[in-house]
Amino acid sequence: KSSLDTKARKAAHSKSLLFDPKVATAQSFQALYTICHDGFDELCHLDARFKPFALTLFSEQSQNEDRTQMSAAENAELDAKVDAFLRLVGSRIRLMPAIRAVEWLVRRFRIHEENTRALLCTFLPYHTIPAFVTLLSILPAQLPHEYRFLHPYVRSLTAPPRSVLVHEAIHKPAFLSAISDYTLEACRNLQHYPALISFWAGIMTEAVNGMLDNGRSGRQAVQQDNDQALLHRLGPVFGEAMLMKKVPNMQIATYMAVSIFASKGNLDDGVLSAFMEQIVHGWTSETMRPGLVCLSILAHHRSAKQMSGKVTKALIKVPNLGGTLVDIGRQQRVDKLAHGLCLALVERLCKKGDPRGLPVIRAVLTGQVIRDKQVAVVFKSLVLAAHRLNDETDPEGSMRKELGSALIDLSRHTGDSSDIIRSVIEEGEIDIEELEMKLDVSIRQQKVVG
Amino acid sequence: EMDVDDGEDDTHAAVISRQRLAELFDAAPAFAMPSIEDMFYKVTELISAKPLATSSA
Repeated sequence: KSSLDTKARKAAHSKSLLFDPKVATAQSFQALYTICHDGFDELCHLDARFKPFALTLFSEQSQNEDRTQMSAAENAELDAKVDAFLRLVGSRIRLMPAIRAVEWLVRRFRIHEENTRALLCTFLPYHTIPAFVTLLSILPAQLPHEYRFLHPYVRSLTAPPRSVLVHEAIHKPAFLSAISDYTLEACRNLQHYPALISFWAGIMTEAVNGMLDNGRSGRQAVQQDNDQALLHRLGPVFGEAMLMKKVPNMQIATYMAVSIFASKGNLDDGVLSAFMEQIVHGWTSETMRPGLVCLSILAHHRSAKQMSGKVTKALIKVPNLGGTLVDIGRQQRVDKLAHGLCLALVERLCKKGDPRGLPVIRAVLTGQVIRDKQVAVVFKSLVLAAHRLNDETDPEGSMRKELGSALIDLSRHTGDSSDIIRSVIEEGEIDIEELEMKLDVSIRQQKVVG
Repeated sequence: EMDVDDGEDDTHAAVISRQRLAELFDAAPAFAMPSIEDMFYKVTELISAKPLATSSA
């Protein structure tokens, strides 16, 4: 019996990320500790956050710690430390010192068996490199259920291609949740790194696209149920991620997946509006431009025209909003966002006496980013606004002045939209005489002179 | 009320090629990818409707 035990212990001891099984079997923990601790020391030089582990996982005393001799509580405490260490080392898996340090945890604390999930999450963004294949070679025969799809790659000792991970994410909610949970938690703790977010973004974006495609078969009612179910699953993940002001990359990664969802998910206006509000609620100066691009895609698929009060209020605060919208409009359609925003800004001007929207409206009307009909609608609503202002709503007359000069500028503007604006005036729907008196300026005169 | 005729709108669900999307992310492993913002613009380029004015005035 004891020889069997010895054999089993030897076999277990041979599992290594660094050494050939034969070499590993013969290694003492003391010899191993020296090699692995060197790696750990280098990590501490790179990032001081590793240092506290010198007192625990990498202490001198750790050489004699044996999991099998520890209580359940001690084991749980060890698991927590292992988890914390792995989260920190995740960004450095391509560095030898990191592999050496992880080697210690494998050999001494058997984390490949006891912390398989955490270890797999740590290495998964690196699924294409040899270190991942080595990891596969030491994992226990039975993998956690959401990672069972890796079994063929364990057998053949090859790296799983990304397409396999995407396929799994499309078909197995547990796998997609596992990587989403892991990535979100890393971001919450500010232990994220670019490759982790890029990895998640790629899998999530392709998975959303694939899941929506798969939901396409069948009747429309069934499709909508499928999309709703998917929204129910992913909505909370997107919602949290878009509010992570301290992790701009995660916000942008989520805009990516949300853009795909909105583009082909047949989402209703309520859902699209909720996404829009989450974007403007969470964005920072670093994420405003991609946020605006995502907003324009969401608006494009929304049937309501006018932007909501919340979104409008947030948009007014964006520096050089008009210019940015025009700039984005050179790359893609922004007309529904820009048009809906202009309508909301005109309303704000009348109801709240807030003239800050006027420069944005001018930029949009002259920037060739909305359609002719939309230009006409916005211009008409500006004229209507001018009529609605009076001594009561605008006691100082300052609003009328600003609006007046905006209308003059627009009517004198020479460009494609100038024809539309002129035709709106000439159609006779606008009482220029009355407007002149009200605004104390002469649009018609200016037009003739101009 | 004032409204825009939606005849010119093309708000129907987009068709996004799985293959082209995969190509964007398969071009490099996650640790060697361009910035996430660059990736975002590559993805949105695939799904966005073409701009109204193709040449700037």
